[in-house]
Amino acid sequence: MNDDVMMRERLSALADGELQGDEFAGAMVYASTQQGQADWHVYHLIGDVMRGTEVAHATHVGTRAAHAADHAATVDMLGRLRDQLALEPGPHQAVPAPLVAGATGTPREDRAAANASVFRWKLAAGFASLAAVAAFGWNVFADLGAADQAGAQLAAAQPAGTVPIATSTEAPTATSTAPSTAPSTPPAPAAALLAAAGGANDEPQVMLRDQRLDELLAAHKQFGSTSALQMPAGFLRNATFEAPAR
Amino acid sequence: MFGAGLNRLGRARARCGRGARRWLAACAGALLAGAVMAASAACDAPRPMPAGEPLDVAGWIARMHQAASRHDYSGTFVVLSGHGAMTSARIWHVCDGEHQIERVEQLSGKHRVLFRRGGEVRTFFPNERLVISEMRDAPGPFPRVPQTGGVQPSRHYAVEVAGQDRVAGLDADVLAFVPQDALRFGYRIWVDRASGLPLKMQTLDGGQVLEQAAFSDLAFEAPAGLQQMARLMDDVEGYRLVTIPTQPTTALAEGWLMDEASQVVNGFVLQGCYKKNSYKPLKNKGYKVFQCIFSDGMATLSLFVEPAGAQPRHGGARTASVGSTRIVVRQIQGDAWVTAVGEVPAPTLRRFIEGLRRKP
Repeated sequence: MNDDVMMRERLSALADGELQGDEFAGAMVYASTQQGQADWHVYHLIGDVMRGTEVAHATHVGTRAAHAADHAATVDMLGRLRDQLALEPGPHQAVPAPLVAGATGTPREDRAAANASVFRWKLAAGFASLAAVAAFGWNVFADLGAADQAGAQLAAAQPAGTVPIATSTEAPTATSTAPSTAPSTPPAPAAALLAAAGGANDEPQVMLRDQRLDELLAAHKQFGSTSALQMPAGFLRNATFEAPAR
Repeated sequence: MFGAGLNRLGRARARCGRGARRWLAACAGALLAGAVMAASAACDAPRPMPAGEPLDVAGWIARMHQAASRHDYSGTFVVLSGHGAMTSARIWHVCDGEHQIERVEQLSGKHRVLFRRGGEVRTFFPNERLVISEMRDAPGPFPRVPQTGGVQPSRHYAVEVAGQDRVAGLDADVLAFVPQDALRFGYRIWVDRASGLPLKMQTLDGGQVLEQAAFSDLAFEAPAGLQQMARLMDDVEGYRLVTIPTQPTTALAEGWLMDEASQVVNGFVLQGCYKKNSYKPLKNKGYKVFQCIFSDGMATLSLFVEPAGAQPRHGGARTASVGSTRIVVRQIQGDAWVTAVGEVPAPTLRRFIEGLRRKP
C-alpha cells in the first residue's frame, strides 16, 4: 500500500516535470502499468474538473475497456478540434504536430525507461510515435506548460462548454482613469478570435477562455461571493460559465 | 415560538432542581426535549414582516439572510446572464436546530451536485466519480452570523419598495437597491412577503440588467430531512474523495501591503485572505496564489495575487466579464499577477489593484 502511495506521488511529480534520472525512469515504468495509467488519468481528470473544463466523455476509472473508450473518445475529440481549427479564419500558430498526430498512436506500448533529457527533447521536437502522450492524454501539454498558446487556442475552438468570458485587452498602465484604448495586436494566436474592441470603456467584445481564470472565478464564486443575501446564486453562477453566449 | 421552547427548558430545569437521583434520567430526557424544542423552534414556518417602521437596507438584508438560513425550502433556480446564457439547478435547503445543509444539483451543463454544510463545500461529479471537498470557514454556531462583518450597506445603497409582484407562485415585494455611487451595481430584488426569502434578483448597471437569478418554483419544504441530507453528503462510496485544504492568511504574511479597503473604495471591508495548500494536479511550477475577499454588504470582490515567478498569464493584462461579474487582470511590480474578480464595475476592481504593493 505504501508503495502505491509513493508511486502516485512520483506520478504527480512526473506530471509537474519535476523528476530526474532514476526517479524519472521508475515513474515512467509505473506509468506504463494499468494502475499507473489509471492514476495518471485521475490526476488529470481532477485538474480538469477543478478548472471546470468540460470532459468530453464520461468514463469510469480503472477498467481497461473504459480506457480504450476513453482513448477513442480523445482521438475523436482531437480530430474534431483539428477540423474546427482548419475552419477558423486568420493566422494560426501551428498546433504542435505531435498533439494531433499522436492521437492515432496505440494506447499502450512497452517503453524502455528513457532519461529525462531525451524525453524532453523528443517532446520539444514533436516526435511522431507519441505513445507516451497518447497514453497520458493530451492534457500533458497543458501541464508541461509548453503549449500554453495551443491549449488556449484549442479551448477557444471547443464547440460546447466554452466559457462565455467576454474580454478585451487591458491598457498596461497604472492610471486608474485611463480608459482602455483599442487593443494592440496581441501576439497570441487566439488573437485571431478577438474582434476589434473599440470603444472608450472596457465593454467586453469577445469570447476567450482561460483555464487559470476559470479556477479563480470558481474560487470567487464559491467562497468569495459572500453576498449577505446568502442566495444560492453564488454557487450557480459558476454554471453560467458553461453555457455558450449568443 | 422561540419563547415557548425556552419556557419548556426552564420548567425542565425546575423539575430537575428537586434533585432526587433516580429522576436523573427523566430530567436529562426533559432537558433534552426542552433543548430540542428550543432549538428546532429557530427553524420553522415563515415569519411575517415585523410590524412598525419600514426596514432600512441593513434590515432588509438581515431579513433576507435569516429567511434563507432558517427555512426548509426546495425549488428550481434559474440564472440568466445579460447575454442570454441560461443555467438552472435544483436546490434543497434543510435546517434543523443548529445545523443546515444545502444541496444544489446543477441541471444544465456539467452534472454536479454540491453540498454545503458548515464551512465545507463538497462537490460530487457523478460522471467522473469524483468528490471534491473544500473547507473554508470553521463551522460556526447556528444561526450563522452573516458572512460580511463590519459593513454598513445603508450608507452606500438606498432601498425602496418598488411594487408588488408574484414569483414562483408566491406573492412578493419588489425592492429596489439603488447604489449611491458609480462604484457598485444596483439590484432589484423580489422578496417573498411571508418569509422574506429572496425569490428573484436582478443585478443592474444603470438601467441595464446584467444578470437575473430566480426561483421558477419554490416550496417551503424539502424532500429530505437533515439526517438524510447528511447521509447523502457523507456517502462517497464508489467515488474518489479529494480534499483541498484552505488556510487563512494575511496579505502581509504573503509579502504584500494593501491599502485600507475603505480608503480604496468607501464601504468595502476586508473579510479575510485565504490560500489553498497546493494540490499537486493543480500545481504548475510556481503557481501559488492567495485570495483576499472584500465586501460592502451587498457586493463582493476577490483579489487573487500570484507572486513573482508565476507562469506568464496567457492573454496578458485584460478586462473580462461573465454575467454581472467583472474581471481585471494586471501585472504589477515586476512579474507578479493580480486578478480582481467581483460583482462590481471594472473601475472599482482597478482601484483595488492599485491599492496593492509589494512589501519592501
